[in-house]
Amino acid sequence: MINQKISWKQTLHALLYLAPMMILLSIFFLYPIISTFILSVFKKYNFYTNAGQGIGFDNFAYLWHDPMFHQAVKNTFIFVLGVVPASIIISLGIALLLNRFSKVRGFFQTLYFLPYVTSTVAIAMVWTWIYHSDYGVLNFILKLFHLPPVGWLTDPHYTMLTLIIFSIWKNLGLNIILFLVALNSVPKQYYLSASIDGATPWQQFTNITVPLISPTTFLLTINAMIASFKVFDQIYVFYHNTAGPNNSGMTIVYYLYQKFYVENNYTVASAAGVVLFVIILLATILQNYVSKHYVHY
Amino acid sequence: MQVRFSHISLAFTPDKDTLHDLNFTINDGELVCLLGPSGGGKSTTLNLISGLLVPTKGNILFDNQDVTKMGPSERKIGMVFQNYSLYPHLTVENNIAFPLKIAHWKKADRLARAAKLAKLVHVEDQLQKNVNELSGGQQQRVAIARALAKDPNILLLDEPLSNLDARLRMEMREEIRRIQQETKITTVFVTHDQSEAMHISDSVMVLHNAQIQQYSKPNELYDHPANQFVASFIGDNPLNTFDRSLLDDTELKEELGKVYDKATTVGVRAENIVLTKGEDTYQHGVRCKLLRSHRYGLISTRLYSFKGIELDATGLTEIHDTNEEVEIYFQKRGFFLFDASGNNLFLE
Repeated sequence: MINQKISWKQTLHALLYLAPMMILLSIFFLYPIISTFILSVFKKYNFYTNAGQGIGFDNFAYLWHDPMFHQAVKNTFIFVLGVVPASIIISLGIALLLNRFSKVRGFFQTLYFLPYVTSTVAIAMVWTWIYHSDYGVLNFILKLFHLPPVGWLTDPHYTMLTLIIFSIWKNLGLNIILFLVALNSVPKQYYLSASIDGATPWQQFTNITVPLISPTTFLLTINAMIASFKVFDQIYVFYHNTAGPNNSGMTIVYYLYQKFYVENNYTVASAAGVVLFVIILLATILQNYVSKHYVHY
Repeated sequence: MQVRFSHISLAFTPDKDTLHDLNFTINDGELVCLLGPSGGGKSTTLNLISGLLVPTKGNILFDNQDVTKMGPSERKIGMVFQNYSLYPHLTVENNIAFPLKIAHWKKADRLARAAKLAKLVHVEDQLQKNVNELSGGQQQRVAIARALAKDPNILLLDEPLSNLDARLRMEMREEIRRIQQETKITTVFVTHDQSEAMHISDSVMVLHNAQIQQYSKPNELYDHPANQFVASFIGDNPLNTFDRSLLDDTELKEELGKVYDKATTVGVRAENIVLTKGEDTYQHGVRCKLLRSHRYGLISTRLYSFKGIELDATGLTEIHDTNEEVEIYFQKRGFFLFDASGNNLFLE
């Protein structure tokens, strides 16, 4: 069997088995993606008849000149840079701590994992209370340190910081669990032999732990980055269906949403989607390239 | 560097000593094997030398300096683990240089040192490879080179050959011997394989039941085992043992003389059973019957029945029929009498 040539009949047979999945994928993934691309280059489009007129890059030109879109791109990048490195570093730190104290590990693991399994909308509601400028816990803590209260949800200067803090916290659970798995999969013998050579805990961390968990770090970074580029629901909930005070929390996906559902400008929304697609694609390619030098499988 | 254990005891639980009152000296430049069955305390002893374990009682001295309380890096030891423990993310070169990197050597210096060590262990053409690309034997060589990188006082090897196949094991044990003799480093080698220990070492320490059973030159262990445990543990064939009373009505009893009365158990090596008496045998034999025999290459094994017990005999060449009654003789060098606590009575 192994050395036989594959016949057409066999190929057809195989395709038949693949068909159910292929059909589902085509309808729910492939078709919408292609539609978005087509929609983004129509000059005019009628939503009800699904008929487009004229092909061109007018929508992209519109985005190029729209200050709101510039704001959205800028905010999205601030968000990604604010959330991804911080959440990776903080969750690795917590995972290292939990790994040391195995007795309380299960308890804290559950605690940190809770936000991950709860709906973003529900926990964002809780956080609107934490962030409240008059009665919020956060401002109460600031007051203990004699710091002036901050209008977390009302001051446009703090909008991105508010979103970043919340998102870091929300991402911790999954990251910690996956880091714990990775930390446990590093054979203890490496630490033993390094300690015989006189390696300090910090040297063991940088020379053994970091390189040996790098596949997990890489996976989590890509994952967090893609999720952060698509940030939307926490803004929607925090600012009650707006993009924050003075649109200070405008991100690419929020812009897309605004154009599509509020302004019914479908072609521009699609173009924004295509731009986001290209940005994420480029960022992923860049990370893949960098990982070749730093990730050890 | 000389290593001395003075009244070392180690207990993991309060009621049972894993090692009990160990006293020994390993001389500078020697290769010593710690030999014994699993759970005998050999790895524990190795870890005490390394400083990974701290004794409950007693002192450890390196060249008369008390190192009992020192950690592994202070004692300056090099260690090779059973599964080599090479860092998978580093090249061969960087693995060997790793201890030097930890010690903040300059990059050029440590790579030069790594190249020199690679040459010593014969992996100089593999330096840029990833360790996963190497064979088991090559990984072993790299592990030894890494252990030697910091020019340690003592090289410790924990069952270094047990992950290799039989042929490679023979090759590597010769290699370890060669490297040890070239560097003249004091080496302690843990193994449960008696033939490995016999072939490679200057001295062998047999550990069993938390104690040293015997610590001597390899041939001494075979020729003059201290007790029944050592006699049966050393040697390629199992030791035949039977109750002394079986010899009570034989003339052999008379020939053995006074020492016979103290004995409870008789031990005789399979290779020291012969069919003709000679200068090196006792003059009186015992009658027994051949049950069966088979031959594999040079070695023929026969099973004799003697008063209801079975005796293995190897190295016999004369042919005779199954079930035929013959007189067998015991060569003196492979015949032992043990007292109730297992001590070899001929040593007294």
